[in-house]
Amino acid sequence: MADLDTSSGGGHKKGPGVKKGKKLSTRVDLTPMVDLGFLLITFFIFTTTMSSPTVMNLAMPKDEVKNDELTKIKESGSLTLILGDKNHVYYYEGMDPSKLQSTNYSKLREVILNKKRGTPVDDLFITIKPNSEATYKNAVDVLDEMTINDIKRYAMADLNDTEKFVVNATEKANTGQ
Amino acid sequence: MGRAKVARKSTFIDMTAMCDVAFLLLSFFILTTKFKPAEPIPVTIPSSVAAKAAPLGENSFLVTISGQGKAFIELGEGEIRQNILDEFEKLKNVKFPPAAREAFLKSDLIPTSYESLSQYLAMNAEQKKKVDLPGVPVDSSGGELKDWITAGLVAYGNDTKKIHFIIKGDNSAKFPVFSHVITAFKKNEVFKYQLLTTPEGVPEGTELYNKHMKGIKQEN
Repeated sequence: MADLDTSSGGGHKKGPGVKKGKKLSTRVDLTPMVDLGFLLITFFIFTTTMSSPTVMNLAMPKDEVKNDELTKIKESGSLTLILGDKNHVYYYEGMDPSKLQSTNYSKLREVILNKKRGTPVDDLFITIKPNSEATYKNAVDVLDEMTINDIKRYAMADLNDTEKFVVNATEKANTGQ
Repeated sequence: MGRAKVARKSTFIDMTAMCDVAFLLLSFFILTTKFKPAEPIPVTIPSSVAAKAAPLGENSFLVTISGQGKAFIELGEGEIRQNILDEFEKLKNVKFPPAAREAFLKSDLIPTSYESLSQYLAMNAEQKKKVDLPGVPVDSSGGELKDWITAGLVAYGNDTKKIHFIIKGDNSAKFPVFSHVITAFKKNEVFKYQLLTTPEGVPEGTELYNKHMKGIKQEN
């Protein structure tokens, strides 16, 4: 279609000794251009971030609640996660912070699932307590973990003094090793 | 001896059509790409499995927490800026000069306390880039951020469906700043927040993954 017929039409034969004019094709090899086109397409596809940001919902409780409005938690169903610095996570079951154990974010799911398996659904309650060294990413990661593992009841809270003390002691012991 | 002549076919393939397709696709991709608007405060947001699209746009009230732990307010385009500024002036009993007001409507960022806001607004783009922004004051009692939120709520009749409060935090921001921002919201009786995240895949084998496989929609 794009090629032009350059042959001089008809079967007109030149006599002997008459030099043939060299036929120059007007056909252009478009292969490199196609290469270039696809290269650019690939480039654009890879550099475009298709995903638009999403939002994650978070509900927080009121600070001032009456005593009878407090959520009752069974001791056996309670799991407290304390988010420390340098991506450390500490956790303990029940109400005794001295039973603190340490883990990290990659093993956190295991911990949550273990607790979930051993607890009736309605009793399970996870308390998330980020300390002052935890990052925003840590908090979001843990909240995300709640969604991933389908935990129905969880809350965010601040550390109490006992917990602060125990976490400090644990961190000291860890760095001393 | 007569040998059967095999017609020699040219190996040349006409690339014109392919070239057309390539460039057609290319122009399609270029034209459909929306450029990300330049962010005044560079922030890397965390990822989550949340699938709800962010209601960024007209009436968004974005609280940005930078990696250094400073809070900024980014207002969406449109009337929201005017409305919030009016209410804030009433609330604090201050009047911004007309020049600052005009600049405010064009600027999407509130990066300082209101005392130095006119000063920031008077700067040109070059100066704005260079200056070290102090952020909107926010502390354990809510700080000035609280007042901006109040202004936003009053302007939209306390309806959090009309004004979208979104929190956009940097990965490395420390938790206390986030909790101060939350406090500022709590003091305004806002208890539900939307945290801006980038989408990530649901890990295989988890409960949420199984739910998705069964076709149960995520609640949030």
